[in-house]
Amino acid sequence: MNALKSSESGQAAVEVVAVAPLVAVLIAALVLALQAHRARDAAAVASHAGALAALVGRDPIAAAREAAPAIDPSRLRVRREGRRITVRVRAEGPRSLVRPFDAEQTVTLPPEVGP
Amino acid sequence: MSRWRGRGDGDRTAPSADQDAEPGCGSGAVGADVQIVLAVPSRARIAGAAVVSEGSGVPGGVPLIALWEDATFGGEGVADTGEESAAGSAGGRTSGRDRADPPPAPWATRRARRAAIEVRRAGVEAVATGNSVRVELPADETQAVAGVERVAALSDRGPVVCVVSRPWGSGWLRMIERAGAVRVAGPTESIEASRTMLRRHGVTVRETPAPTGAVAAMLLRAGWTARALIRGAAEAAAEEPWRDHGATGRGGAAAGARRRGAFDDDSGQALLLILLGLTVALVLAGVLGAVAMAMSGREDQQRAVDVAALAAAAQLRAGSSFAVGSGSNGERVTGPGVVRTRAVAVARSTARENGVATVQVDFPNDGSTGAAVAALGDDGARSVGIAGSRRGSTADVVPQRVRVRSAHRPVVAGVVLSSEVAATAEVATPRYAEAVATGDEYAGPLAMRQGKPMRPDVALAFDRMNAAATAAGQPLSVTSGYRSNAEQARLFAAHPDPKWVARPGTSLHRMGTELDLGPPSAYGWLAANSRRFGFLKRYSWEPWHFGFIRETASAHVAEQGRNPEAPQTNGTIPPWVPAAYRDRIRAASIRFKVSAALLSAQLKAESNFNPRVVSSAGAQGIAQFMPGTAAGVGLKDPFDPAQAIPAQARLMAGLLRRFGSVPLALAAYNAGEGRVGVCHCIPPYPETQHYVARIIALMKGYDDGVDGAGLAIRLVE
Repeated sequence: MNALKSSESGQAAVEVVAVAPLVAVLIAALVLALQAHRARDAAAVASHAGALAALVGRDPIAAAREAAPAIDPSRLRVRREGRRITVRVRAEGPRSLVRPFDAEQTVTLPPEVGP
Repeated sequence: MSRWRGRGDGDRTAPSADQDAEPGCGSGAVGADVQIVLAVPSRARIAGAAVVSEGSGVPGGVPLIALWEDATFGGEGVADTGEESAAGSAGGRTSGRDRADPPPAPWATRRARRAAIEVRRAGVEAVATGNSVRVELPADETQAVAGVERVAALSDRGPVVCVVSRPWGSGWLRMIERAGAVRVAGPTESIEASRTMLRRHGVTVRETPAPTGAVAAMLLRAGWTARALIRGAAEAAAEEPWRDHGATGRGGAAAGARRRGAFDDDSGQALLLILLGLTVALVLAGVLGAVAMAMSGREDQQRAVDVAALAAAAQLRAGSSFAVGSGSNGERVTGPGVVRTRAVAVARSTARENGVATVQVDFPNDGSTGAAVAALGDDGARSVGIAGSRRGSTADVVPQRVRVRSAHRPVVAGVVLSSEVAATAEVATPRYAEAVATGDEYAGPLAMRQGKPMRPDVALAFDRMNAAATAAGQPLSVTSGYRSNAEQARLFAAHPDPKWVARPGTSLHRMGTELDLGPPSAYGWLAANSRRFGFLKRYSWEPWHFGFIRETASAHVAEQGRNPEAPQTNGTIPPWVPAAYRDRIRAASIRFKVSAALLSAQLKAESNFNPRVVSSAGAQGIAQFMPGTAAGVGLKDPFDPAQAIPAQARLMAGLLRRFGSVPLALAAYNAGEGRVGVCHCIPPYPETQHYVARIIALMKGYDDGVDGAGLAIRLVE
């Protein structure tokens, strides 16, 4: 019986080892997806905050940066071009892997309001 | 009819032991430890490795798996012609042409590679693969049997398993008869037929072990042998050692039946469970991803609608600022239709440019019928909103609001996650953000209780309360005490939801007077007894949050003058305060620690410093006390400024202490403590909202211009 158990545990070990690469790939994909989501979410929140700040007369770039405190400033780029406020967030992780997951969000402000 | 039974069990007569033996075949050189496996071609390699695996653990050399199979089933290098085989045999090699030795499999062990070389030296093709050697027998049966005999004659060899997966004849039959037992792998009917046929020759037929799963089968096919890869190896080894050829037919059948049961039973398949788990995880991840995408899409729409609403509010503000009309009292008047039409257009275009194609725009306070105005009252405070019939009178001016809605129906698996997104913005004088988020905080010494900082007087009060609670069997724990604005900012950054975490600069914890207490079992005791020790449960929905209210220094920071950006709170009396009241206001401010500017602005808003005024509602005097309120604060003559101003300061000190916020205290002064205490907000009464806005505007000196540039636009919902 013990031998049988040993055999079965060995079987499980063999199969786990065989499946491990698949699990690793899935975990890596999950991590990448989370990083991509995080970057996109931060970009969306920051661009939104920048737009609202611009509409009430505050500095949109400072507001955008304040809105994403968890993002390292070096990974956050905010620019205003005319009516467009664009926030680009570099995804976290090895660049070769996460480069495609960098997020960029743009909010378009209304034209200069007038009477 | 399976091919592997071929000539032994077909229409043709099965060969018998008395048939002529080919030279070199059945000469007796094959040892008893050579096992023979009859297998269908598709299972040949797995069956051979499985039989070897059954004997794994027995000391010996590298196992040799001799395959006699068709080239179409991976037997490359096997389908030699008879001439080639003969030449090979004569020349000492099975295929004696100048063909290079086949390379070992990349995953072959060093021992297997050495063993393969030894086999090739015996004149038989062999390839190291995994931890075994695959011996590739020539296509000719006679040559194949001879090859097996040469391999079996090798010294220091491991176990030999011959797998026959082609139609076979007398050569193999004689070898099978000498072995006395044979293993079979194939369909059940083929196995039974083979058993029947071979029983006549006294040969026991048993099934080959089955691999434990798909991965094990793959490894066996690649030449890896191990007990862990087959089912019931230990049991089989214990009951029927693989060298035991004495099993009876009945016993062999029973064992075969047992193995069939094991073969059919997949309960031990760890791989299946793993794959099932992975599949479930993938499906869950997919569903969660779909929900996340749907919610993300909703958030995107919400952001777009926010911007559109604020843009519309900005348009409203611009419209009311620039459209100079000829209204009485110098008001700038624009027809509401024009202003709103432009605001609607701006909202729609802004939403469209940010990805929301269609939105609905309306004006929640559309009940008013007047014009959009930017009015400057005689007191210098600005208001903007919808003016009613008494246009220009600030009493009924309410903020102008615009609401933008977008129908958005994300559907995941047939479930509609939400109905619409909406945002409301307003144009009004600044009142909430600037007044509430003063950013100031307690800066004095701190005492520690249970590792949590708090003001020393609060700590002493807590000690008394904790002693009483402990005596009642409810010892208290402190979850949180003083929190600086910086700490609050970190908390808010981690949970940026004002419903659960106050914005930096607005949490009462920054005053050092607030304690979050526990455990939950003590909430009842705290609610019933905390007031005895000077603590007040601040919010009905936070049974753990208690504030210390006995010391007026715990009143709102507005009067403490630490924050240069806070409203003017250092006792400066505005220039528009009549000289007759300046000293009284200053004295009351010092005594009750309430901003002189706040008291001044309140008196101006209440009575415009007229001590004899009586409102239509019955409020009396310079501070507009209702008779009941006056009695409550001990004010005997509300028409006497010498009594009314200190009473006003005392009442405001209490309100500031309770609500910790100038706007809320003002709202409570105007609408009553009960109404503010219910929602801990400024009640939605236009009069109260205007009252608060006007006083704060007076405090901040919003009386230096008449255009709308200083009017605030903000999202309110």
